Amino acid sequence: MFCRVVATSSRYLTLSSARNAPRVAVVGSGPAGLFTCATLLRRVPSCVIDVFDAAPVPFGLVRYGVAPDHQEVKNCIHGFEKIFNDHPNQANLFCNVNIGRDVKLQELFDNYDAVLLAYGAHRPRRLKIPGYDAKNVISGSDFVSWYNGVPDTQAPKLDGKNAVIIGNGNVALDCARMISSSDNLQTTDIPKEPLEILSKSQLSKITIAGRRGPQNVSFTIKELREQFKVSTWSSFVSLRDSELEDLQKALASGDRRKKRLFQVMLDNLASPAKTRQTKECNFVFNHVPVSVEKNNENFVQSVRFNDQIAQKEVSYPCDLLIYSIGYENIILDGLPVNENGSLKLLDECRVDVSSAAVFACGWCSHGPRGVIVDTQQQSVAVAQRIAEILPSNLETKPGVSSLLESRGIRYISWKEWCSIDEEERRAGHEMGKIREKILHFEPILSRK
Amino acid sequence: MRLMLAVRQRVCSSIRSIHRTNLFLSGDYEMQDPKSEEEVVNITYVLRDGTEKRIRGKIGDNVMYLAHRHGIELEGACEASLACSTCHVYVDEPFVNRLKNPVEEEEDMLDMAPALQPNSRLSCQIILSKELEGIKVTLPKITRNFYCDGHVPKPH
Repeated sequence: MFCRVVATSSRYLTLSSARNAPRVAVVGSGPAGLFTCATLLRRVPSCVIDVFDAAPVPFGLVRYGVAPDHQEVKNCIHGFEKIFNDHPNQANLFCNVNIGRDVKLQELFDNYDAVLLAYGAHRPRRLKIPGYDAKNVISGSDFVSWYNGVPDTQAPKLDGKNAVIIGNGNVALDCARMISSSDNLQTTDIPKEPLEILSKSQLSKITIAGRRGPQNVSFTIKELREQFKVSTWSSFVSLRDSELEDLQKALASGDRRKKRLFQVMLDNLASPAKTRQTKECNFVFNHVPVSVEKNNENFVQSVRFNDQIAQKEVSYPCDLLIYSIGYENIILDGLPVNENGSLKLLDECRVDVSSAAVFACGWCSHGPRGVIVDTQQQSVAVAQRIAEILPSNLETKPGVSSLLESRGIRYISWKEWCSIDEEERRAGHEMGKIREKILHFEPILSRK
Repeated sequence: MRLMLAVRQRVCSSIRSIHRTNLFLSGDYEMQDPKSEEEVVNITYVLRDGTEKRIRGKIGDNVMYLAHRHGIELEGACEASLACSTCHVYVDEPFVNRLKNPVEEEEDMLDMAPALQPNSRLSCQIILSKELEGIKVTLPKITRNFYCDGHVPKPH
């Protein structure tokens, strides 16, 4: 009897203390979503947050995008863990839930006081030149997904000699570095399947081709420097006279960031001293891809470029073609779009929806630009905006957990992720590495 | 016991000078109060809203972890491993020249810091010493322009 009274009264207390709590839905559990959660919980200590992710496990590109040799970048996960561990009754995780299919966007609008869109910008722009459907032509995004253990990805073949990477951003550099320095990956969280394929790679020449000039690269300096530090490969920048001139001019007039980046390129120009190793990674510019040639088995054989400086077509032998030429917007059904297909915003983060308080943060709001600090800074500002509009003294909205139950949607909660995390670490420990990622979630999802 | 502590502190400060190590870099050391007046190094944090917060730090404290201990909203996403610039601060004039020059890895990360200034540093690389008594660091304002290519949305 006594116990029952206590139980009832504590339940009552929980309910009453939750009565004034605003409820926020966050679509996406990557850095944009979770950095915003962290600040929001500081600004509105009573708020309840439900975080959704279409993947079976959390952390978005921190798990599935950041290269395995950049474990330090992944330290931000410790902060994300604190969100859920320190607020077990307020921060809830629903992985393996696809917003739009399992739960309609309108249902989020109806059941939450604010909705934050933080689902990234994930679809790679396709290289649409003749022959692009040849085998072993893969987007940089798919290559990254593969070596990071995204479920259901297809392994590329690395048994040829020549790789060509089209693109001048960090994805291109990550791909080149994974191919040229797989020895450094043994103890990281790269899954054993891609590690085995990378360590048996026969590739000995990588050409990184930019369609514009050396002054237009979107590399960041740390990643660029890393390629030149790979000791078993000769990595160098090939510039023609006019390109060298362009780069020097840009260096003279650029800001600090550009000056330092361009200097790294100039310090690594092709020269006899730079080409000592038999394995080579060569940066070329002003190469516009024209077509892909295939062999009789439909595998890529060579890539033709229009060389803008020499003003002629050139062909590069190619056994693996990786292209990273940007991303396309993915807009969830029911969201307003601009003429160019991007998400329609009223200011830097408020989405143009009148029936609900909808915000966007990270790459889904402004495209895939910027590094983690940019997303973190934006998250603080967006959390501030959400905090300003959250209503007080009203009944807590129900959220959609009962809806998920009634529809039989098998979601992965924070608690369940913790046991997956533990399992991955344990398996990794046995193999002498940080973690061994689970690649097939069907067995887990079929458990109830 | 006292000897062990002294040894730990010495190891601690020598390890702190080596970058990319997580040993002792978890912020535990900053949780300890100064044990004597000789150890005290006063520091002022200028918060993003302009208010000043004075803290009694101590020799060997990491400026980022010290901020965390005192609830100052300074991120530190990569945990002092020189892989991000979320703990970026401005260091006041007389003190910026008393700091060791940034290593290349810090310079590379500063390149990515929004609102960079000549007196910008990563706070996780500043370790308090007597020479820095009275140091003042300012948290940069959060920028509202997230368009890295310079595009600014039209006002509505």
